[in-house]
Order: sequence, then structure tokens, then C-alpha cells
Amino acid sequence: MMEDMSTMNDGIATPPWQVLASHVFRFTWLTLAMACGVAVLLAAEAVVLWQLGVNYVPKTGIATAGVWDFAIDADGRWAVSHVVYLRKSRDESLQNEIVLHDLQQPEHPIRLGAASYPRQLVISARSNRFAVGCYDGSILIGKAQPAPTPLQPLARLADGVACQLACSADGQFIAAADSQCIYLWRSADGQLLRRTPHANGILQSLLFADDTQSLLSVSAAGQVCLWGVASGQLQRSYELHAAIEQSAWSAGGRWVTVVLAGAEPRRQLLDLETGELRSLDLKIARRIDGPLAVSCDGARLATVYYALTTGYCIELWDTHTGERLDQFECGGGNLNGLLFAADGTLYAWDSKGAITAWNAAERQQAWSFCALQWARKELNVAGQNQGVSAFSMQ
Amino acid sequence: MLTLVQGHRWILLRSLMMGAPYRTLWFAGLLLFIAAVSVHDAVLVVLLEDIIQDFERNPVGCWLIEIAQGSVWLFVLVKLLGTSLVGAGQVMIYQWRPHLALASTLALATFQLGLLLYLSVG
Repeated sequence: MMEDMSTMNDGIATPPWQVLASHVFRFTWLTLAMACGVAVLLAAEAVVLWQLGVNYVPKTGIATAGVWDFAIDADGRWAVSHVVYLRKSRDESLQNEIVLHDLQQPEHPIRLGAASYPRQLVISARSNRFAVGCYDGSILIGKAQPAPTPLQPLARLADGVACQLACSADGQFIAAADSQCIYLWRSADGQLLRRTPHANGILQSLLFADDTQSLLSVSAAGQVCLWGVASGQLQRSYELHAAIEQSAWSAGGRWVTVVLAGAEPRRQLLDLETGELRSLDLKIARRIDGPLAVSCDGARLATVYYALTTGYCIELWDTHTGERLDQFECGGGNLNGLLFAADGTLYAWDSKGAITAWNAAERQQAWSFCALQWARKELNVAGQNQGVSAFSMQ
Repeated sequence: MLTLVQGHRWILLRSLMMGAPYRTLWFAGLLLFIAAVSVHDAVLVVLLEDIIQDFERNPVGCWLIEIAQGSVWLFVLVKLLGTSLVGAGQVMIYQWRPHLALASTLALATFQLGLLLYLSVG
């Protein structure tokens, strides 16, 4: 009888929902078991990484590179740039490099090494001296020459964020200003020559006049001042009666263009030789979408305009008539800076790592540098020659 | 004669490599490799959190980072959960059709090997 019952039970099919439920239960159980296994693997990897200190993260890939500052001398021979790139690495993934460009041999940029968060670069107009101001307040100086030489520390200010830097045309002096004082050093031996207090607050920019007799400053509060280098005294001051959002000096320091804050920002051009202040009324009303630059003779102004269709464009204006003379499309990156060199060439550098020189008269690109390609090549060469530790921050 | 010897060797090799106990070992080893590479990838995502948005090639990963407002926790969670689900699925397939599971696990392991090479060599 019992045997008969057992045979009958075997014949009854298990309902499909029960089969499904058992599969789901088994799948859930297996998933939990796998999750436990994954957690064990995770713990093992964590032990390997942190306890044993094994660094097997690749350091070969560079994803992006940008150029954050650029300066060129009056002869157009030497230029210096601040390149930032990201690489795949567990530590020190963000690299700040100072690169020297010999424009007689532009295909061989010279890597001067890493610096801790550079903020501003300045180069003397007629000597091979240049200086780097960093966010931590340190000021480094270097010499532009074919053989790479390490940057030397000059001084360290308390407030590096608000610091402005200038290098005299003959390369003898380096000046820096924070929100309270203007400092002057002799670059040959790094001796502090003078510390001049000022009441202008945070400075927008600082520049040596071409003759090295005056130091020019623009403050965010709206003053443009000329300071005597020999005396340290304030020689002249122009009050613009509005906060200054942006400013740009012409090479040599005769002209300064400023953007004054207000409901409708105003562009003005100040001639420091005559003291004449002009409004720049451009024929096409434009927003201010980036940096600006003024040419050596004060006749041309370069501005940046962003349009959805074309991206960033550099526009070139006649400062006397307000007519637009030309425009150049710049690609996809944010423009980080514009500069008119003494010979009239317009330099632009962007967050995509491109430095482009435009010959405005001939309407063609005079020179370009791609930081991304350079960084990839440099990293590979250094990795082969010296190992990846060559890229550690100084 | 040669064919016979070669065939014999192949059968011997197959019985050694793919016999029931070895098959289970192969399957477990491949599954472990798949999970280990996935975990390694997840660890790299955490370590490179500040720059992962520039490096990440997986569009789903990018989307998960975006909806987590730049943080990688959601991406890592989904990634490891997905690995666990795939592992559990493979085990279930193995219990049903061992050869089919072994073939699909081998394909997955090959893909993971490619991923590991990409992560390591750059």
C-alpha cells in the first residue's frame, strides 16, 4: 500500500510556480554567496594596496592636458608655458609642468620640471630671465637657455593666491605684490631690495615699464598706479571710479585695457604716456566671454566671444573705430589667455592644451603647440629612461 | 597511424582538462578571475575618483557617475552587484548545462583579460 502511495506521489508534477520559486531562491542565495566572494576579493586587494604598499596602477595614460599660462619675450625667441595634465595614477595624478619654448627650435620644447601649483608666469622682455609665481606663495626663477636648468627659489610670500608678479625688461629685478605690499628683488642674488606698502588692496596685475624705471599696477578696486622703481614712491595714479573685472597690459606697458564692473561692463583703454582714457565702443555689442589683450601700439584689441555654432572665437578690433578687423575660431577648449607679443603676433592658449600663434597681418597660424601630445611623449620617454618616479612632484 | 596517435593524445588531454572534477576547477578558476578583474577595476575607479570622469570609457559608468553627482559609489555598487549576479547566473547555468556554462565563462574571462590588459598597459 505504502509503495503504491509513493508511486502516486512521484507521478504528480511539481507546480511551475514552485519550480520558479526554487530557482529564484537558489539564484538569490548564489548571488549573496558571490557578493561575499567579491567582498573577500575587495578586502584582499585593499590589503595588497595599503598594507603592502604595492603600486601597480599604470602611469602611462594621459587623459587631458591644458595650458594655463604663457609668456613670451620681446624678441619672440623664448616663451614659457604652464602645462597641466592628468595621468592615470594612484598618486599625484595632476601634474603641473613648466615648459620652455625656444621658438627657433619649436619642435623641441624644454621640460623644466614640476612646480607646486604655479599661478603666474612672467618673462623679461630682453633678457633670458623668467619667474614663476605659485599658489603656495613661492616664487621661482629660471633662465631661458637650450640646456634645461632647474628653477631656483627666490622668495616665499604669505599670500600666494592674491600675488601678482613682474619681471623687468632687462631681467635685473623681480617684483611681486600681494594685497598689502609690493616687493622688489634683485634676480641675480635674490636679495630683497624694497618692500613698499600700498593701500590699493588686491592687485589685478603688475608690470615693469619698458625702461624699468616704473612699476605699473592695476588694482581690483579701480586704481592704475605708477611706482618709481628706484625710489619706491607712488609717481602717478589714475582713479577709474569702478571695480576692475579684467585688465591687460600691452607689451612695454604703455597701454592698459580694463573691463569696469557694472550692470553693463565697460571696456576702457588708458594711455599711460598721455593719461588719456578712452571708452572702447565696439561696433558689434559683445558679451565678455574670456580674456582680452591689447596690442603694443594700442591700436588693436583682442577679445573672446563664445557662440554655440562656432565655439570660442577670438575677435580682433580696431580700438579707434570700433570696427571688427578679423576673427579666428579656436576649437573646443576654454581660452585661458590671450597675449599680443611685441611683434604683433597674437598668442592664445586654452584648456585643451593648445597654444596658437596667429599672425594677424597675414591671417595665418604662425606657430602652435599641443600640450597633450607633448606630455604623452615626454612621459613615455621619461618612463623608459628614468622610470615613473621621474614624474614625482618636487 | 599518426592521426590515431594525435586523436588519442587529444582524448587524453581532453579527459585531463575537461573531465568532471577538472571542469569544475576550470569553471571556478575562470569565475574567480572574472570577479577579481571586476574588483580590481572597481578599486581603480575608487582610487582615481577625482579624474575618473575623464578616463571612464563605459557610457553606463559615466551616466552612473553623472547621476551620483560626480561620486563613484553608485557606479562601484552597480558594478560589483552586476558581477555577483553574473557569477550566480553562471553557476546556475553550470548546474544545468556544464559545457555551455564553461564556454560562456571562458568568453567572459577572455573579455576580462582584455580589460585587465587595458587597465594595466594603458
